[in-house]
Amino acid sequence: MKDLGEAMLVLEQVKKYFPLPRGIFERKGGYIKAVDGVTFSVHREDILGLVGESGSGKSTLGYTLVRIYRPTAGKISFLGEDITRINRGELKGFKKKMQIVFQDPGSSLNPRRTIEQTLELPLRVHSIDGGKERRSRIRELLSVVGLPGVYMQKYPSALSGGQKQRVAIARALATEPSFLILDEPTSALDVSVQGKIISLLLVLHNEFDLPYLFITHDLSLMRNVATRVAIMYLGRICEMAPTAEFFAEPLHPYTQMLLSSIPVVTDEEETLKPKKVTSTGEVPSPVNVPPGCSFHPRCPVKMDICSQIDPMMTAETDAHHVRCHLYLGRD
Amino acid sequence: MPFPILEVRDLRIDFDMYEGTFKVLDGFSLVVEKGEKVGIVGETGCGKSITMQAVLGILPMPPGRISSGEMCFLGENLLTVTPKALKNIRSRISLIPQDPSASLNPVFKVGTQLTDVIKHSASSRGQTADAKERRRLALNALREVGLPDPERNMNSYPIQLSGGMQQRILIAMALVTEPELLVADEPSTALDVTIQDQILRLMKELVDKRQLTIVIITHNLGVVRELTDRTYVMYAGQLAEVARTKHLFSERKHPYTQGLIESVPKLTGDGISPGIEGMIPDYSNPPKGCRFRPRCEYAMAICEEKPPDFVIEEEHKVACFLYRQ
Repeated sequence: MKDLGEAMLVLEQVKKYFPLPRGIFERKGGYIKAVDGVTFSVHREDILGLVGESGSGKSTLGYTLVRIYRPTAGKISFLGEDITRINRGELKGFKKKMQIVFQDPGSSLNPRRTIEQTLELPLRVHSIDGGKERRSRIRELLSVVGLPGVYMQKYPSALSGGQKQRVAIARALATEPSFLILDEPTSALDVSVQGKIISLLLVLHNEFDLPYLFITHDLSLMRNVATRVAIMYLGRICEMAPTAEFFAEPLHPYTQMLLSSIPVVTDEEETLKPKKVTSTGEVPSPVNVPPGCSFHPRCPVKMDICSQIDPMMTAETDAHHVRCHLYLGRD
Repeated sequence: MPFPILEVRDLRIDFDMYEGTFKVLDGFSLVVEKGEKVGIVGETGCGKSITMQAVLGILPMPPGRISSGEMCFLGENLLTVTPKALKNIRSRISLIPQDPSASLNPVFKVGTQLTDVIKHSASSRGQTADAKERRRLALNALREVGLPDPERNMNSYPIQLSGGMQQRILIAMALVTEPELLVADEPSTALDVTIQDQILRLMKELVDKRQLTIVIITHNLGVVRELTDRTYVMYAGQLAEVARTKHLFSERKHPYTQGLIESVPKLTGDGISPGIEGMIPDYSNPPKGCRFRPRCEYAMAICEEKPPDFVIEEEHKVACFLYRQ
C-alpha cells in the first residue's frame, strides 16, 4: 500500500450511546449503542470510505467526530491533540479545522439566507477577514466550487440540487479546514449530477491536501473514490482495507452479502461480485444487539462460537482488517 | 400471440401553475404486452411517475391536465370510459408505491388495511367475502411475500415493522386483488441494499410464478437491468430510447442513455465519469424540439425539431436525429 502520510485523526474505541427514555412504571432504561467501540485512523492523503446501511451508526460517528454529539467513551485525537474532553473555548478552534458537509443540501442551507449570508457566517464566527475582504473571500469560495459570483445574491430555492451542494461544500471550506467529513454528499442527487460533485471533491482533495472521511452507503462509488474502505455494521467496524484489496478479496460475510446485493449495470461488474451470497434477515435494532458477533443471525456461514463470543479485529494482511471468527487464530 | 395490455399514445400532460403552464409530458408513447416486464428509467422530473399516475387515474387534476393523447387498457380508452367502467378497470391494475412508510396508514393495523383491500376488490367484482375468508386470504398473501410470523404481524401497526417488512405488506396488498397489471414506482429506493436485494428477488419470483405483467419505474439502472425485459429511457417528458433491456445496456444509442449509464459508478473502478453537463430544462419554457439538445454534445440544427422515434432494429427505437435513416 502506498504511504498515506501522517495520521490526522485517530479514533480509539470511540463509543456513542443514547440513553433510552425510562418509563414511569417500568424502569427499563438501557442504551441505544449507536457507535460501539470504533478504532481507526485517517491519514493526510486518505479518503476513507465509511460504508454501512441505515442504522449502522455511520452518521452518528461523523456527528460525534465534529462534536455535534459528545462521545460516551473512547479517545479521539486530531492533529496529535486529544480532543475528546476539550472545553468550549478550545472547541471553537477545533471546529474551524474540521468541517462537515451534510447529506441533503435542500435542508442544510437556510432558505431565508442568501448564499452570501450563508457563506459569511462561518467567516464571522471564526473572525476571518474584515468586512470588505469577506466579500472577495466569498467570491473566491464560490469560484473554488465552480459557481459564478452572481450567485451570492441568490436564495437556495433558486439553485438546483447540485448547485446547492456546491454551496454547502463552499461553506465547509470557508474556514480553511484541514479535515472534511462528508456525510452522503451525493445521495440526494441524480446520478448524472453526482459525477460533477465527486470530481469537484477529488480536485479539492488534491489541491488542498484535504483528507476526507466519506460516509456513504454506496460501495460502487467508494470503489472509484476511496483510498480505503471501512464497513460498519451495528455500531462497529467489521472490515477495513485499502480499496483495491477490499474489492478484490472481501473477507467478512457481511461485506460479501453487501457486494453481491448491488444491482450493477455491466457484465464486467457482475463477474467482480462475490458469488451470490443470498441476503437474508434485516438489520436488528441497535437497542437489542445480538450477543456474540452482531451479524450472526444473518450470517450464511455462522458457527457455534459466533453467537457466544464477539470476535476481535484481526489483521489478515498489514492493512486488511476483519472482525470475524472465520479468520481468527488462523495463521 | 402477445397482445398489448396497456397502450399509451402520444400523451401530453401539462401542469397549470401560478408561474405558467409546465409542459411536463411531451408526447410520450408506451406499449406493455401481456406477461412483459417493462422498465421506465429516467432521472428526477423526467415524467416517469406522472405517466403511470395518469394511467392509474391518480394524477392530481388540477393542476395536472391531459392535453392530448390516448391511454388504452385492454383496448378500452381510459380517457373516455364511464366512471363505473373506470372503477372496474382500475381494480385490475395495482400499484406498489415508492415510500412504504408513507403509504400505509399509521393508525390502522396492517391486517385491517389488507383485509379492507380484499373486501373492496371483491365488491368491485360483484363478489362477497366474509370476515373469515378475508382473513384467510390476507394470511395467504402475507405468507406468499415471506413476511415472518404473519399471524402476529397482522395485528401490528406499520410503525412496529421495518421498511423491508412494510414493503412486503404493500406487495401483498398489490397482489391480493389479482391484478392484470402491476405498476411498481421505485419499489426499492427507500430500502437498504441488502433489503432491496431481498425485495427485488421476491418481486421477480412472484412475477414469474404468476406470469404477471409489470411496469417498474425507477432511476436505478441496475434494478432495471436485473428485473425487466424491455426498458424505456425518458428524458424531460420525452422518450429517449427503448429497447430490450440487455440490448439497451450493450448497444445504447441515444446520447442521454449513453451519458446516464456512464455516470453510474462502476465496481470495476474505472474512475468517476463527469456526468452530463447542464441540468434538466425549465418545463414552463422547454427547449424546442429535442429537450436534451442544450446538454447534448452532438446537437445539430435539425434538433430544434422534435425527433421522431427512429427504428434501429426490431424493438429498438431511438428518438435522436443522429440515427436518421
